[in-house]
Amino acid sequence: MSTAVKELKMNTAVAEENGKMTVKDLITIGIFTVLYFVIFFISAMTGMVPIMAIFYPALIAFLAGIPCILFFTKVKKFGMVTIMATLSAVLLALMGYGYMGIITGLILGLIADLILKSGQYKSSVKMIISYVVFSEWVIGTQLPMFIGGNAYAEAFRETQGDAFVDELEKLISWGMCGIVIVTTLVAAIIGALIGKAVLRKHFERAGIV
Amino acid sequence: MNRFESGNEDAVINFDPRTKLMLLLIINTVIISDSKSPLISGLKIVFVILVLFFLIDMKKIKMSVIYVSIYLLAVVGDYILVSGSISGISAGGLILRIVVYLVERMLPNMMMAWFVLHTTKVSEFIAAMQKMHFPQTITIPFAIIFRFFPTLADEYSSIQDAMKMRNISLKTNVISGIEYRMVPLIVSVTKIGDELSAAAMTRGLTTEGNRTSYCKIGFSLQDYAAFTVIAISIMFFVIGLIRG
Repeated sequence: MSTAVKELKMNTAVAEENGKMTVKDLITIGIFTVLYFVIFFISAMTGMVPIMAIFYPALIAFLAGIPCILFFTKVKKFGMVTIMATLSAVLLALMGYGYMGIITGLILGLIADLILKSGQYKSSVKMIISYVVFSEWVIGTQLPMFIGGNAYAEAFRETQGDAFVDELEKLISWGMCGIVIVTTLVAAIIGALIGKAVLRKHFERAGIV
Repeated sequence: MNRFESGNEDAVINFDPRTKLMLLLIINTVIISDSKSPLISGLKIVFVILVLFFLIDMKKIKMSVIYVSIYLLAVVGDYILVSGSISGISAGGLILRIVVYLVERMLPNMMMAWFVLHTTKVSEFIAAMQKMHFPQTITIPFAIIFRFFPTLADEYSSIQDAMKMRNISLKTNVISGIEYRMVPLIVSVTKIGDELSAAAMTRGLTTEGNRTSYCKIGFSLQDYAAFTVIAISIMFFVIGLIRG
């Protein structure tokens, strides 16, 4: 074995032991960020209907369950979920979903990471809780709406039409924000359970877990 | 992991990756802003034309024509809506609004992102990020993200074909339709990820310390010109925001 290869193996082994992320982990983060982004974008498109402009976080939490649970089983180092949530938020900020999401992505990603870590990256229950917390970051993309209230909706009168704005104004309130958080929570639990089932049915058999 | 996709060798524009990222950021910010200030509207028109110029420079004539025609149609649609000849509450008006909104806010950004993806090699991108002192934990996922969108689209269309042959459509059964698309997609994407990890290792991405790069990264006269444009645009944008 050449010295270079030996060194490489040693480096990787050292990184594994230290709990430092390897390049393989970073590539995994990149891939699942792309999958998550696509699901986010398709789900958020339904926001053209006023009611879904409020409830799209729940739809995302439901649909992203399958890829995210697979991602969470691959997470063995602290910080992977944080990076994934923050990167997704940055990409979505570039697409016009506001910069508030970067903050919630960072904070909730970190909490999700801590929960995963407390279960030694093995506990299924902790994984589901972690996914629920992670899913709530999407509310960050809506916060400008809840903070700005009707003034926020008025800005869309020109581009989205009167019908859209009138419907939206009826829906915006802090109580509604609470309802969105709860529905997202429920949807995330269902999504995570489906993700678990699919994991057992397909991915474990295919040997990619 | 060589190129994002083949670029054009004899293009006039040859920006540093950092310049391209800065341009992408400022164009994005301006295009998605909802401000109605005339200064910002003017800036939007300038950027739409700038993106067109980049596409023409890549010799993507067909694409440029399609881009301009769709954008102009959206502008006409916007004009019809503002003039009030179609009611904004009717079904037709609503659909028109949605299309116009999407095209005006997304199309220039998407074209700009496409330009950046198709003219930047992955190794150039990584070298540029390293020069800006971004840690690997950010650079590598970002490089993967940029490289992955076309791959994902390819994989999905193959899966779509396979499912069509087996008559598993999203219309007849949504649940199994989603399952039989998402699962193969995730499997193939994870496999590609493993291959990429192996490729990254052979390229020395796993070693500690600063990497040297074959790509020459540096600012030329073009880049300074671009920075001037960016600086002026930021100034106009901020003034536009303050004046409202």
